[in-house]
Amino acid sequence: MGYAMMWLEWLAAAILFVAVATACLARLRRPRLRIGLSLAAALLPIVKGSVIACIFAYVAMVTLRPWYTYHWFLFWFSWTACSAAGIVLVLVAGLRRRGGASPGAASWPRGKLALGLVAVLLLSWITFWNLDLSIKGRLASLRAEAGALALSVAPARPAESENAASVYRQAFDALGKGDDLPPEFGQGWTDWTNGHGSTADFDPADPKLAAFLARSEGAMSLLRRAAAMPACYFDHDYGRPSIWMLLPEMTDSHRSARLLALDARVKASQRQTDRAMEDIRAVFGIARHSTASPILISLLIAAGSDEAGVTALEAVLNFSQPSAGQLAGLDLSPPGMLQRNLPRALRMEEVFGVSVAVDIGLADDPLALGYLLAVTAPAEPFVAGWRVFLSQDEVAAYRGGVREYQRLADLPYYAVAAEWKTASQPESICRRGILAKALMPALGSCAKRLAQGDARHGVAYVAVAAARYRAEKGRLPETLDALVPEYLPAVPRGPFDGKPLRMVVRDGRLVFYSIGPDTKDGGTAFDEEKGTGDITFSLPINVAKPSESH
Amino acid sequence: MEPSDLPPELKGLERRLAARSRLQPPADLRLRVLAAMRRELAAQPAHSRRSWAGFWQYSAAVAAGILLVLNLLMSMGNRSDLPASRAANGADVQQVAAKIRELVPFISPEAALCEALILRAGSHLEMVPQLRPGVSSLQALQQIEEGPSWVTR
Amino acid sequence: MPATPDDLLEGLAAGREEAFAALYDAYGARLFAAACGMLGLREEAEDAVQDVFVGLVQARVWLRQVENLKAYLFASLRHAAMHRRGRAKASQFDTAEVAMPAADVGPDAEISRRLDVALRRLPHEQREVIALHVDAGLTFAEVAAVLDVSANTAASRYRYAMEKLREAMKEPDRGTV
Repeated sequence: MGYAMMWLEWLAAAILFVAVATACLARLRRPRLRIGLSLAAALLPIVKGSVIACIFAYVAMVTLRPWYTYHWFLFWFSWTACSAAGIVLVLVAGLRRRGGASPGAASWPRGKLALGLVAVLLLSWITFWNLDLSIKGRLASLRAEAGALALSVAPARPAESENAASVYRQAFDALGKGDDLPPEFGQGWTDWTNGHGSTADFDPADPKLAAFLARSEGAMSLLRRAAAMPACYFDHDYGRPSIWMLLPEMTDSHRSARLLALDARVKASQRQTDRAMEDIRAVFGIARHSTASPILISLLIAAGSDEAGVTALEAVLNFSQPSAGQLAGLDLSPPGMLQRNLPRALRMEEVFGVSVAVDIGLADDPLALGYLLAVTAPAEPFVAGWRVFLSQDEVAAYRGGVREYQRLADLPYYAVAAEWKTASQPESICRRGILAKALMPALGSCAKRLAQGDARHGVAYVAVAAARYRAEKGRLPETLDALVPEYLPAVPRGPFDGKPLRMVVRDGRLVFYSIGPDTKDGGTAFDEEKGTGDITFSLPINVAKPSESH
Repeated sequence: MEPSDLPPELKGLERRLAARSRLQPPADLRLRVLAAMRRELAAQPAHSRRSWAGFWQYSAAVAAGILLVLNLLMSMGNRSDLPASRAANGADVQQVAAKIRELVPFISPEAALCEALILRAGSHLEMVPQLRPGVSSLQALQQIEEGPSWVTR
Repeated sequence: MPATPDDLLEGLAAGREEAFAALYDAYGARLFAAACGMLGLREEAEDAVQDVFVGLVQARVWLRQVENLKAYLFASLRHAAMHRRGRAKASQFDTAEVAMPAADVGPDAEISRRLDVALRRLPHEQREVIALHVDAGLTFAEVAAVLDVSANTAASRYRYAMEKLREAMKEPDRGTV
């Protein structure tokens, strides 16, 4: 309604402006000057309307929508066309001579026309102001809604006796910045903590590595204690989380998990199976605690930590044969932890995205608007224009996009794998608008990565059950069903096909595997980059007696 | 040039022009002209254009008045004092994005930048207690507790 | 008491016949003289005058906004004359004679005839200035208002017309062409 009123008022203003100009110029003696200046005055509103229509056509093109269907382009195009028609009528009526000495416009009441123009301009300004105020009010209430949503997905605060946060803080302080590493480990350690390389790149017998791990033993002991506690709640304002609040913790927990994984491998090579299993349990505990944070980056870091734990576990189980008690003490959580927490993380994504939109709309964050539009320091009228014309559609489109992600995250990955890919295409995101283009990451690869993490955890879960079976019965199970219900409540299903995980004997090893993202049971090793092959965890078939603890 | 500044011989010529007998209109021209005017008057529509012009002027004035009143009513219903929010923190988005890529190497640079940009906004949220969680929140919590359907038979 | 221009305009706008008759009585003769000067043909001049008054009836609703009635009438006449000239053959106005009254005989009549011929050979912009100023008796300010030019321009155009007329009068008499 407000936009329709504004359209009419601006149309009336354009026509009245030209009428006033024509009436004033009609008294000029020189016909060419009179006609020329009248045409120049007539061109002003037409050029303004054309430029604005072109801007919206550009917005439509950038967001891959047909410009001729984009409603704001149609709004301004129709305004320009109607203004042009009205202005032409005014010029024809005003410049034509009615058998008299002067053009028709010479007899027009200039005062009344000017008064009418002022009144219409005042009306249009009031209408714009009202619209702007109304939208600002809606944006402010949107911010409040986002705050409430943030609190609803925030983790519950546990009892202090069950909260591992303070122990983690001590551990992180003890770890320091890792600048006491021997120089020759620098790059290798960096690569390992960045998710590249593996623990196999380190020589467990290297005395410098052993000395480094010995110096870190105090911190690792605290980490093991913290990871064993039921919950972790850092005292943050989850109603207003900020990146500076989260980054240090994410970095430290990421580093801690890898340090423990490295220590587990070294300890396993030294036949200190008990300590190795404690380290692996702590790695999984850190991953579990990371998933408590409703931040998407935390969840992805948790996936990395969990993967480090699985890799270290496979190395330990291949190096030694832990006892049933050691294996039971591992307390591996059931698979699916990562995907279970994805919907909550995506709700927090929606909260953050909406908050950015509100900041832009209320001109509180010109930096964000600059990133959004690849400009610096946009002027206030530009921000007001974005707010009045674009903000509502943009916010609605962005929320629609994130809710589509949320819908997909609520469903099993295998059922919606193709839809994840489609929703993450740059074209799909672009079509949702400029805000979505800037703020909606392509999460298809993240969702796939989390599914891979769950698959890896699932095969490790089954392998640990099989290792327990062997430790107690002296032989490996012939089928996975043999593990149910004593060692497994049920055979977990693979996230890429929804079918139970499989077991096969290959090259003298018992291989537990999940179909990979290519959904083919090819029997090949998993290639992370290509996304082909099966996700596996293998145990040696011929093993020594169970190791004794040190 | 002043209108009266004609040289003498041109003034003489002017006098000769003026001295020519002015032609008088024929006697019947008056009758013909008045008859033509009468015919034209009779051919005009019953209500004059002036009354139409007056009607449209009145309508335009009424419409403008209604628009003005509507606008004033809308502005009276709007709040003008919105609470000021805190200023954005000075995080360098590019630095944060780089740090995110260190922690999560498989995330694309564009996704890392998106995350860095939106994570800055969290500090501006207004805390509002939710008296009763929304239905979607309850459903989400339920699903989290039940777990994904493919884990158990 | 003669009607004022405002009264006439009021009466015209209201469509009263007596106002139209009063207007003809006030300006008809001068309009006819000016039309003869512009067009050179009696019949065409009569029709042009009729066009002016019929046009007045058509535009009567806007007449209240006319500031200068005399300028308005002669400007209408000028447009009617241009319109008629545009429709007719170009030679028709250049060669035909205007019928002269019987009293005009002798040397003065001969000079008048030669003046008429010379006038018809003038460009029509100069001819109409002379018709408005000499035949219709308008001042240069009034002529300027009719022609939509400045008074100086009107006076200059009149002077050039007179000089050309003088040159034409010096040439041997070529009679009608």
